[in-house]
Amino acid sequence: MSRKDEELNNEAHEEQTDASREEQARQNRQASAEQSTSRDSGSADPYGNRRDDRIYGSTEMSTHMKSDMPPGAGDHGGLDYKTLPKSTPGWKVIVQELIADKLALFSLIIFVSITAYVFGLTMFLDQAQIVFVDLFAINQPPDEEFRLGTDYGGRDIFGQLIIGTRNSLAIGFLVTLMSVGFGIIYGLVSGYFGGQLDNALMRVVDFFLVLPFLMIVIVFVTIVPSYDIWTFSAIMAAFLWMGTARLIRSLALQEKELDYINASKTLGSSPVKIIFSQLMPNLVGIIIVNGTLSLAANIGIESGLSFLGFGFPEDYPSLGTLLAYATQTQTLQNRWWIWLPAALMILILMLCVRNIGEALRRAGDARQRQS
Amino acid sequence: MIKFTLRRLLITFPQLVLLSILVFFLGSLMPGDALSGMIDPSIPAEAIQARREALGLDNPWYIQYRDWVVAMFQGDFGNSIFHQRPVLDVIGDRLLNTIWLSLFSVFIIYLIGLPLGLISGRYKDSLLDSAITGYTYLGFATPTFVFGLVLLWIFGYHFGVFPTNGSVAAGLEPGSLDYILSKINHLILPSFSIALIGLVGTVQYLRSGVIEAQQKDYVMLARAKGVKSTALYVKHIFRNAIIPIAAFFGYELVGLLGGSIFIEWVYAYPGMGALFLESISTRDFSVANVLILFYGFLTILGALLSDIILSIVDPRIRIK
Repeated sequence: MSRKDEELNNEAHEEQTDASREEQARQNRQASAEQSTSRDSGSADPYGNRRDDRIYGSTEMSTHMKSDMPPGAGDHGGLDYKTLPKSTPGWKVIVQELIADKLALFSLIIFVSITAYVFGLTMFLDQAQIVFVDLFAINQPPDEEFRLGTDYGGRDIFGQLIIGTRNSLAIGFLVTLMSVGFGIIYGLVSGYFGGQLDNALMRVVDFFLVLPFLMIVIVFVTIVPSYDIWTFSAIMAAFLWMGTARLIRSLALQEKELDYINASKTLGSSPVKIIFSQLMPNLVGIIIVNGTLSLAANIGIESGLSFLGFGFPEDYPSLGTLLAYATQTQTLQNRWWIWLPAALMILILMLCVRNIGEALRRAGDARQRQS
Repeated sequence: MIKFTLRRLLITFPQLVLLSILVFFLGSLMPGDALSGMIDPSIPAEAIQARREALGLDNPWYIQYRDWVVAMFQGDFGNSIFHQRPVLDVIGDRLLNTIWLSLFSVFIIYLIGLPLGLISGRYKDSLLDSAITGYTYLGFATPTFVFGLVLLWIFGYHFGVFPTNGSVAAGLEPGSLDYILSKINHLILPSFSIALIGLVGTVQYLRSGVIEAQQKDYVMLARAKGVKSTALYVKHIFRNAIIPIAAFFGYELVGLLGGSIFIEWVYAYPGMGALFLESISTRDFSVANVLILFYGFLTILGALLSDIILSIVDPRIRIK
């Protein structure tokens, strides 16, 4: 092991022992691990504040404990943190958790294979040929030539399903990236600076929360002059960032009271540096969980909008476009092959992503770990 | 209590103003204005110009905004270009249908959701609990419209037990028993589609609430005093676990009013959500605009209602 490696290892070690102390504090605070298992998994909370109490408790405890220890206590006998048993590094916990959670592992495998398959295959599929109207092959049930039959324009459903899945996934990622990204910055700024700015920024969030999301998005989609993937994603993201912003803000409010932030301030670091290279990395676990769960939701919202006819145009199919065919009575009643695969695909994707997100959430919370 | 409500109302006011400004600007961004539907080539351009001036369409935006708000307070929401009738009448036709759908759905949500949550929390880790938790997991991942389509396919078309569209069978006398029965019959599939997916949040909250309450000291005390298990759950645990759910009642009801867009579309149910989609696709933006305002208003009202309910059931919140 080189010297650099050793240093890195020591650093990681130090962090982890701190973390394990926090863990203990957490566990002491709350007698039962069970009670929050289910509480945390509720995601219908419109406030998005549900982690507050726990995080608040833990940080309070840990700062308290740290300040009790004189600097360099580890070198002078007493509590020598270097001899404490090593705890597992963060990424390993996540891997362990995913493996221990069979359902999540299974979901991950399925999700990765679907994504790889769909993105791989679309490189070879000719999109123009798939959306090519062939009037001699209208509404055909599945056979050898068309694995999932054809729609009212004689277009191959299987090809549309593959492209639709890719488009839905891509837009899901894009919207998540935009909305979560903006939400993070907004929440960090609001939480870090606090005071009047925080107050004002949060009133803006409150206002966005009372807007009728679906209707506003539909209206924007209709009146926006140049309409493509980017504007569509931006419109969606513009009304989906509030949950992340609230969550990150509440965590940043607590995190900024910790010693390392104060130390950095004293040393004269700029707020930008503190926020993005010191505060944000400490919230990365929660950001990942939040992003994963948003991804699941966004895939659903996008396909919903396309289903209503306010998503992608027909020559750029998404899963919702295929489902929209089912609004015709004949299709819904007699031609299951057109819409049912897309319905199942949405279900599978959302279920998988949610399972992964929940497992990651448990990995980030020592009390809920399964391994 | 009154002080809290007043203070809460104070927050509501700026939200309403902001909402109305947003809707006003959306309206001015949308193509067409109050005259669009009435103009035909036989009218001379000067007459149109005179009319525009009379209606104040050339005024600066803040005067137009003021006129718009004043008109609304006088009950004038403009005319529907497509229907050639006042917007309020057009919406009025659909309002009742949506209210019925929402009330029916909320009723089912609580009728099924509350027992499921209670059972799941009380018999934690049992087979029954696992089944219910599994169901909530699935429910969270299922978009309402997908579920609605599948229900419609299975029960509407495959088995043919329920009507597949509309809100009432044709040719029935309004007010007669048959009419009411037909209405209910038309409501069953849409409202179950909404409720069976919508209740998962309630179930999860109640479940964790019950599990949490079980370990509280006052429950231990009641148990030690020899309170019977059923009474313990009904009188002590349930009443505490229900608090968050009671608090979300406002959101739930209002959320359903707005969230029924998908289901109304799937079932061709003539409610306000379907009206919104129709008015967008017919470019009847005056109706769409009022609907957005209306839904936004409802959401603000729902948040207000929820906070007030919360302050009633949980006095601790009032201290803030």
